[in-house]
Amino acid sequence: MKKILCGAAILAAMGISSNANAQLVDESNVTITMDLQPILQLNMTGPSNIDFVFDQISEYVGGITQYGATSLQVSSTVSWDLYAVGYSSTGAANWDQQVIYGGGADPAAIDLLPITALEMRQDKANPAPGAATNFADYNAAFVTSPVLTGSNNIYASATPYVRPVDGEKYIAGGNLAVDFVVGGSYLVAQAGIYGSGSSYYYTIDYRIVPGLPATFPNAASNAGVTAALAPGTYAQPGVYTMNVKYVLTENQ
Amino acid sequence: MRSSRFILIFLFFALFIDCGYSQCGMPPTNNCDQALSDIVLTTPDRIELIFDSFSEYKGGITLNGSSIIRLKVITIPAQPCKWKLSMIVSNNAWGVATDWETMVPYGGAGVGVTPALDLLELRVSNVCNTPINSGLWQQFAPLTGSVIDIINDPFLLTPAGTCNPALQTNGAGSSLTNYNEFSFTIDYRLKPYDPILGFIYRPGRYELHIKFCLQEM
Repeated sequence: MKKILCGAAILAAMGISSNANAQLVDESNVTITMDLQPILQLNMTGPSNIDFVFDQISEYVGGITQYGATSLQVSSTVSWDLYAVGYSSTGAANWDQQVIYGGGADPAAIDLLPITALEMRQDKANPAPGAATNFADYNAAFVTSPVLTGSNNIYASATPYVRPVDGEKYIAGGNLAVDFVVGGSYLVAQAGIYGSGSSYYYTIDYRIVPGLPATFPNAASNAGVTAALAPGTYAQPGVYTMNVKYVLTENQ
Repeated sequence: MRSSRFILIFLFFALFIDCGYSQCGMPPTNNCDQALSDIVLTTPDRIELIFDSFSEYKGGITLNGSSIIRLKVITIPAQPCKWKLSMIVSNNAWGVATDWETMVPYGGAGVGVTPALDLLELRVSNVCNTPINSGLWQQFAPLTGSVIDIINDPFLLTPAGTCNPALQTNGAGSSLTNYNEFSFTIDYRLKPYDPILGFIYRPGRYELHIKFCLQEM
């Protein structure tokens, strides 16, 4: 046994010696790392402050519409959803009152104006809408006030970074994982369409109709449940503000 | 008994040493001088391509001259020393043999596919244009262990100094004396965008290895 092992060792040693000194094999190595970072770019053009100044009776009755006040351009390497959410420092329900005009002592003068009084319209339909039972986007045309359907009222939430549930409006995509727009950009042609005609480019109109008296008759949820001020009351004159946030998020 | 144990341990290590070159394969001949010959990578052994803008995704990233290899092949006197040079791709035995190794995925568990090994494009060249497909973009077959030959002429022995694009210089020589034939520049290109399917790849950090093998033949 010992002799066999010794013989094997000698043969192995010969093999090592033959490799080390003769047949040419040599190598060098390169490691390649590819870092694919998710790109979600949302460009917004238009003023960051949009003022609605109601100083004429006709403006109270007919409202003020600001056409094409905001343009949204998307470039993304991942599948995405885009939604708008309205909120204020007090939460999802009402505008922030900044200034009171006049005495403000009338008990019928209400300073809690519904956020859903803001109406929006996007220039093209949601390309990947969810199976919403109500309105899946803001594409419905503005029609003469009062509008009680909830077709254009902004989605309101106190938690703007929590995506709307299925059944709420998205500008593009939806809550479910199967409702999304594939990665792409308004910069490059997709199916021959690019720029403002593509599903990566949206123009937003805004409208507020206070009504007379100013009860905001169009204010409603997406299901058409009214949020207008109660009959016999009216909006207290003053300056009010709210925030509209556009959120572009990876589809999940 | 004690000496038998020693011999067994010795044999165990001898086996390891013997298998040291197994990935490049052992050559059948013995005409080049292993001790004096060499392959040298003169550039960094890590290459990183970071895609953090939309334009990089769409247009891709090309790294020119990121790897430069220099060879020195010394013959054993009076022997016909002939060699070949090749690249072998590896994904570190990652679970899916066709894909890059995933170091970490980014973002949520959204849809998206892991890049296949053929996403990487390579272009090999030297001044004399002796490599196979010199100056042309090539891809590995999407399988770990796939090979792209740079120099591999099983019939002719073309000596150093020939510098003919129609011939693959594969005789003894060195980049010190015949730089134009014994040095190779490798360009890399990645374009994580499918012209038909668009942005299909899942964000994340991926890795693969390329082994450059110099081998006597």
